[in-house]
Amino acid sequence: MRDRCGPGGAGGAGGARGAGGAEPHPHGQNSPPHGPRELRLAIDSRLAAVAPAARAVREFLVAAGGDALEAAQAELCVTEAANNAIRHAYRLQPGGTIEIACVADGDRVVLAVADRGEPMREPPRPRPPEFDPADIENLPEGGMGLFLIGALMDEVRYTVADGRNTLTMTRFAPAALPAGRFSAAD
Amino acid sequence: MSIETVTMGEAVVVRVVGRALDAHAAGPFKDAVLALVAAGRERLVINMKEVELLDSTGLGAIVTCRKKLGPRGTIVLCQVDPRVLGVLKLTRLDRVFKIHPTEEAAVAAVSGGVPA
Repeated sequence: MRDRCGPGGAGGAGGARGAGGAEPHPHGQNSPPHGPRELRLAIDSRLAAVAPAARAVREFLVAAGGDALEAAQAELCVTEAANNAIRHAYRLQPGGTIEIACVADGDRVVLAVADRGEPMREPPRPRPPEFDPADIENLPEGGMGLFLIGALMDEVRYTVADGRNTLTMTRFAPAALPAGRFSAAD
Repeated sequence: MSIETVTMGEAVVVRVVGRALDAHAAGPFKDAVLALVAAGRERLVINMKEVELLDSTGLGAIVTCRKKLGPRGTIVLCQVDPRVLGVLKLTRLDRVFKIHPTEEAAVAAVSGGVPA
């Protein structure tokens, strides 16, 4: 857990913030051209609140120079993760908080969706849906969200720490690696 | 999100009005389509022209409607955005729902022969 910022965080030493995070740049507009860009949002645990937040993530990634299709896939992953948190962590009850963070640093995009509700009992095991397309009665109606996240992202981690459950989804941009590694940006 | 339905002969076209068919929109969508099914409509075209985001719940809602329709009925999709097509392919549900480029083609397809 890089940073914890919750009300009542009694054990907070105050200095636990990420070393790289100086000041938040609103929507990355004031970010240095090669530095990491970051968007942080908090929404209430209502399904209706998810779409605007997920859309903001997509728009942020496009504005940060990301590929339009990958930004749309990030929007979908944030949507799935936030819906999961509302359904399972908060059991569809409003009044809970979901924090969404998106960091784009050139060679990777990291999406984190955190809640303070009930943790998932076991780590997500994304499986591809298996079915016979002709067997209408047994088509899958659910359980596809985590599979989609797993299929669209390179790395998916679920951490439970101090009452905070975080699904962290990372996508690497192989094409960006050489430029990111060897350019003067470093 | 809202739903617009247009009857074209035997076919009913369900136009999804709004950019997301997601967990929030899935309920009203399902209610509208299931009402058509309950009214005896068996040949449905879902026009996805405006939809940029289809999440697993929205997809599940389409599947629920398909199952409710049973083996006699049919649901096809048309004007599917590449982002939405990606989700259908990943979940392999593109093997269940035929996708047509235009509403006319979709209506013609469902109005064709009677499925066995």
